[in-house]
Amino acid sequence: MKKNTGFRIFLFILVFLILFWSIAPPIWIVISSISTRAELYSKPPHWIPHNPTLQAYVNVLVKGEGFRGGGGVSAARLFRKGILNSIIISVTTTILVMSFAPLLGYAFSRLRFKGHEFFFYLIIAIIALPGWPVLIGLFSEFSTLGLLDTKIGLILLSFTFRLPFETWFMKGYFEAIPYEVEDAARIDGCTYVQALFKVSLQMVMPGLIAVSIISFLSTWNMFAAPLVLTYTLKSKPLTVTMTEFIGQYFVNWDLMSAATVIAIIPPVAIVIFFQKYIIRGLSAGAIK
Amino acid sequence: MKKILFLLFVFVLLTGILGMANLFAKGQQEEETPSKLVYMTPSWGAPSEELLAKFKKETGITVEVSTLSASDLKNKVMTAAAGKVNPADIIFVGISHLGVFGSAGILRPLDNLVSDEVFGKLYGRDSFKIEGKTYCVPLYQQMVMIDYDKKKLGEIGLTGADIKTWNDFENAALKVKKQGILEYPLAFAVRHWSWYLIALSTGSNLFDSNMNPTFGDPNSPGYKAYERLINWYREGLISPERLTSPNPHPQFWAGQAVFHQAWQGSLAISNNPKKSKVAPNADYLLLPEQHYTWGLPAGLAVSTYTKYPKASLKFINFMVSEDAQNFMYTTNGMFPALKSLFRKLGAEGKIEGYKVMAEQAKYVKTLPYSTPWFAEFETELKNGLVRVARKEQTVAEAIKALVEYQQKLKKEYE
Amino acid sequence: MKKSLSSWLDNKEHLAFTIIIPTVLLLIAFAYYPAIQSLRFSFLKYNIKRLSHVRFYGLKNYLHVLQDPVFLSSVLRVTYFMIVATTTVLLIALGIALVLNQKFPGRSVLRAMIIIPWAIPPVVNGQLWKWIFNGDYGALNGLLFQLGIIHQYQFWLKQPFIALNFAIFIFVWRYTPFISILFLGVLQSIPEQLYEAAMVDGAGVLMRFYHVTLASLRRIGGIAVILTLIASFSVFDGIYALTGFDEATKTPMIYNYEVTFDMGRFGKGSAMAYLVGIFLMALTFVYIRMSFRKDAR
Repeated sequence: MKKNTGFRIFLFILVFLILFWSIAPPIWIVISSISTRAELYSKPPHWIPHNPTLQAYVNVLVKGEGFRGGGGVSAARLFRKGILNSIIISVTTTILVMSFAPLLGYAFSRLRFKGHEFFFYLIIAIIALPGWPVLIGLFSEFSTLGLLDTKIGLILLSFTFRLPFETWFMKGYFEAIPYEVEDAARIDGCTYVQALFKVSLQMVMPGLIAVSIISFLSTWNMFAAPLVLTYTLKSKPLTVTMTEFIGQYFVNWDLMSAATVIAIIPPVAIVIFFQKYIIRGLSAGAIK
Repeated sequence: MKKILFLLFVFVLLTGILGMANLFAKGQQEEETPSKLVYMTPSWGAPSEELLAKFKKETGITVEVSTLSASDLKNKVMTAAAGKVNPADIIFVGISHLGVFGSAGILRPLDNLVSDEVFGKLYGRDSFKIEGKTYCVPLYQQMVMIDYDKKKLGEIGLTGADIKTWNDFENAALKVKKQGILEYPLAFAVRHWSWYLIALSTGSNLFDSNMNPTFGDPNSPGYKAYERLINWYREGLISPERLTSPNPHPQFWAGQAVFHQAWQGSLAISNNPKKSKVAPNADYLLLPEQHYTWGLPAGLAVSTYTKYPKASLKFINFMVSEDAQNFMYTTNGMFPALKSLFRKLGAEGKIEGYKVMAEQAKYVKTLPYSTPWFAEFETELKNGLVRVARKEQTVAEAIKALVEYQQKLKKEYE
Repeated sequence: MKKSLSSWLDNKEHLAFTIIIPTVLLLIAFAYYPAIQSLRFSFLKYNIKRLSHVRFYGLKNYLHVLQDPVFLSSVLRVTYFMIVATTTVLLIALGIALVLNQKFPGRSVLRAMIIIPWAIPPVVNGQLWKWIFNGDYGALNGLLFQLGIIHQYQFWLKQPFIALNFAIFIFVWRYTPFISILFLGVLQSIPEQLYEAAMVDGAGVLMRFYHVTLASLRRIGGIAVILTLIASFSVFDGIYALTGFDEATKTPMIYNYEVTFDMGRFGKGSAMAYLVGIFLMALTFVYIRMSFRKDAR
């Protein structure tokens, strides 16, 4: 198609608008987090800080603040511990998903067996289970099992609710690779298991990576479930400690901004770094 | 070879289940002296690092302080109570949470665990009683008071002594606003506690002796107080920001208000130049008209589900020792529950505004915080005030709904 | 022993069940069982402040929920939320996808940038915008003031209708990238020949857009509508962070949390969760079926 100058300018404006729409808000938070409190509370705002400072980060991670400005050292520890918990929970869940999802995808795409359909729908139907009914019941179940306020509990939970999606997506990826490849391996004397690991797994690797990244992100973002299921520092993830942390810092927006920046760095970095895989993973559920 | 991998995930599952069983078993184990205790509190109940170090030196126990906002704390404790797990070993109990925590069964009765001698040293044991049992060791006392900025009030030619009625109060605020001295002269909020303050001081008891509302009649002082609070908001005496973020203190400390709904001991902050721009011009104001106020004390409680009740009590005793109580007063302006320290501070003249405070202390009423329904009543009250402020309801409609709601709640918990 | 296990596994059924049985057990334990548990709660009078008074309550919890004015108004509110959010998300996502489908320098960078909002945890998203909307020093006030659109700083969140629309806005902002990516995937798979053929037939720009571009987006568009409806109905984190339990933005999800965990009414909370859940379940089934129909193709 031909493009004239008018079209190009129009396109340029649109591109600029989209860019502004997407990244201006997070950038403003970054700017707020390095502004001094005096500059932050100026009307109208200083869009570019005159005296950038990292003081807010020091306060969030090390010092905390006193009294009605917030809870001091213990609040800073709350925040740090949250980061650590989030990493442990998200990484473990991702590893679990990575080891289970390909097997399930393989089983449902390649192996014909009795109850194939039934089991598949039994797993997929979890996607339709709404959150609160499960969470309320889970709460009492966790309390009987001693899983309340544990990282293991959160890992099991997030793993359980990621699995149906990932099984579904992995099934799709396996279906996209030709049977012949595995058949050839079978003829060479491989068992099903060997064929899976030696041949097919390599071919679905990009899909598996996509699925794992999405699992990581959605575990990292989890909020309602840990809000209900955790009480103490030993298990609260960052999303929860952050809201509690901010709940105490009534008016200190520089600290809030620094806390926000820290919480969004990991997911945003992952998204930029693994962009291609994520686009593939996002599309997997809807388009194949 | 590869089948090992297949066995592996079966094992992963088994380990998971075993892990669970282990955790469960651990819960049943016998306990001796713990190495660590968890203390859950809003930031103003937290001791300093030095105090924690001192406690560790004395007992060998590390106390992990988990600070939360008051509403997060309530939700955490309530869900833990529902799940029958331990939210923390020691729980900070603001009086407004006493009823719900008590009826949820998360607090241990302390009558047999804490000696009368210890309670005898402290003010306010009776506030923490539910049906005869004491659930908290008092940590601080806290009458609700008003403080004000002498300088700003002086700018319109008035002193604290001129404010005798709520009309005087309102007119002074209006004048400050009209003269452009301040945009929002009142550091109050469209919240239950601002209403209680006006209602009690104009003679309302809110409830009769059978816990039925007395504020339903449009001529009652409670009803009128409600109207008055809403008027202040409508006339722009209270900042619209106080509708969604009610905490009024920073506004006053930033020098942005002339009157401030404060607490007994707040001058320790308001007149501290490091923390407040108002310093040294803040002073208490005896509440107008009939002067009545109420108390918002807090106490420390031991969780029902802690494995270490004795160690927890050690920490609580430490928190009501002179050092810790003194710290609470000097840094956070929380008035000591410890009688001896209170007298000492008074004798040394270290209590600012002692005279007004002593006068105010003669006019204290109690609110039914120990009932299981009061917290839910307060939530509806708060929602109603916000609805009226937003003109979604009239005062009459909101009060009618509130009375009905309270009657329903009370019946449910009977 | 090793050998026999290996050959035992080399059988489609044996292998499949070794994989599936543990998974299914896990799902039953942590998904189906708790769901049934809360169904049981919904028939009990169960208030955690009165644990000694738990008893069978029949359908009364459901009746109480359906008669609760707060619940009913929250349903109206979320209906408005869903309609506005879904329309806006789809329109903006379509725009972004169309732009990204053009060839221009820096396209892949822009594609990475537009996913950023989606990467931000929803609850953090709420915090972020709360600061931007702040009435005293917020960037929104600053910007509008400097542009001369407002002459005085506004306390946005105090006005209930504005607060609700702002809550919708932050959802739209975070969710749009996802839908854009879905659209873009389809747009990029439209063969150039289709456009050329349409051109040969004498179709103008608008006709080509209508008959080729939009037509190819029809199926994914349907899925996108359902997904956005589900997501906008289920918003919890963002609203919790932005306005908490404020009535202006109280959707059934927020109210359900408040009733259950703030007031401690597990019975009523479970009943509400099921009333709301049935609606969500229906939507999700439509989504799964739509996706599968294409699988079968």
